[in-house]
Amino acid sequence: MARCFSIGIEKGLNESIGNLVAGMLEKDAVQAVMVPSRIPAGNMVKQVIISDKSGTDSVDPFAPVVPVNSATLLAKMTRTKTGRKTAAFLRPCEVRAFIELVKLKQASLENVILIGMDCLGRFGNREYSEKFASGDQTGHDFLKKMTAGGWDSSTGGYDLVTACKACVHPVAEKVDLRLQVLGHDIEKEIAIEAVTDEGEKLAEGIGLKETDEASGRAGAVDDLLSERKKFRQSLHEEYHSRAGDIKGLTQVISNCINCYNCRVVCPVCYCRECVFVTDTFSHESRMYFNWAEKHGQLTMPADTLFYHLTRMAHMSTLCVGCGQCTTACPNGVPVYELFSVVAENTQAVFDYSPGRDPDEEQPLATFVEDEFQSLTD
Amino acid sequence: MNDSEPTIVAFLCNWCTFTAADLAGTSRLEYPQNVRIVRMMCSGMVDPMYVIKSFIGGADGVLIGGCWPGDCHYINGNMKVRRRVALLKKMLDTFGIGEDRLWLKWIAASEGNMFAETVEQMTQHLGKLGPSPFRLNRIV
Repeated sequence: MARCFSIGIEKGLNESIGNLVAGMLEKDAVQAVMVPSRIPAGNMVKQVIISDKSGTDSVDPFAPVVPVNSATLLAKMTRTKTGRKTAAFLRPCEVRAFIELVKLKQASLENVILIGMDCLGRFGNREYSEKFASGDQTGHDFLKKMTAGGWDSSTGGYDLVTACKACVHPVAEKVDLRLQVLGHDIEKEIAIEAVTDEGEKLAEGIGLKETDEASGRAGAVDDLLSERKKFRQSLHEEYHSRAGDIKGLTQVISNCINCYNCRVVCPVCYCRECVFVTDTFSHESRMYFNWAEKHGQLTMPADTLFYHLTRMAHMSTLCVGCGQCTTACPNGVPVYELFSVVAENTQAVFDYSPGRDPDEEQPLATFVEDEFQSLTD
Repeated sequence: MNDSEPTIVAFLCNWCTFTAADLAGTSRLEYPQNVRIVRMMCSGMVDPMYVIKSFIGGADGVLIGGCWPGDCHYINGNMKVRRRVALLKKMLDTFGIGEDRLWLKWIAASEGNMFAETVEQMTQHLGKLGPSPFRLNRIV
């Protein structure tokens, strides 16, 4: 049984988490902590690397916004050796994407303490900064609303992103410490659960008090899961029928303008240089005429469907469903909604779940000799 | 070629199926002219995007020919492409392009007759299915 440690809430959730971060730095358990914090200018919360405890007054990790999937940020910080130990506050989708980047050797788990936060969802970046954010307790306010019956989109006219409503991983799995809010009364106390020995050592080292697992936690997690599973199922049914043939698929992506934002923000689109920006796709001018003449017409910009199908083939087995692609699309293409359906199918082919286990090989990086034998019959 | 005839794009491994195609020719075996051969150094070099581009470009079927398990010139390229084909088939199936339009066959360099038979079978199969949905919807 994993040990839980208590974090008392006196003035507010953020202050208590700020103290936790300060404690880690003070005891030199880590040399830096990456934690979502309010940035000095603007109504935005971004990951901030804090190396001195004086920087802990603006932490706000539960603020419902994720400007970029932090797996890519932590990958930047761990790709080469630094000699510094880092703790990072990540949401479950960020943890799972990070583990996939570790498998691709673009990130490392060495010298990293992963602190996985219970996740109740996020808003799009603009909805968050223009409509939701106010004051210095946005995370607290959000959790309060969510535990008191969930987010009501009819009041503000905006909603949590679809990816979060359909996410079946609200609790982080492969982490060192788990920052629990589900099943806790956030006005009084939350908990941090030691999942690994290293996590336990850190929690003990900074003098946290041990406590029992919150009695309502399992129930709260189950309730959230069943609600999300229901939403996910109806979403998948909708997109199965909308994109069930090529014509439907083309309609779903018809607003695409080949800006490739979805690829840029995708934490598991792992190529250092995407083939779609290489010379392979800077065609000779005459080619456009050739294609138009062959088919009688050519839609420009060309290669839109080609791009999406190729990206699907390359990364859908690794898709963690963070929804950044949909958030980043300037034209409202439901990229996540589409990829989520495909990912569920392709991951099932290999019985693969991204982020489940750092020691498991990625499906397209390995093979078994006696598999898929009926394919070549 | 008549528009109602199916087109097959074939990615053939240089060390086995491409040589088999050559053997079929030098043995004067007859097989349908529907196939367009692309010579690859290994079936493991076939990126999913080549298959996708073939379909978008108007192929009704795609054939990948590789070495029998254990015979790959580069040790295990054929095993890698088998996983990619499994993935692609599932992916295309999601968008209603299942219908067995993507074939993977192990054909050794000595099996010219098997290459000719495969092309014959695939042409007949695709003829029965009719044009691919990509072609029907004029998606480029």
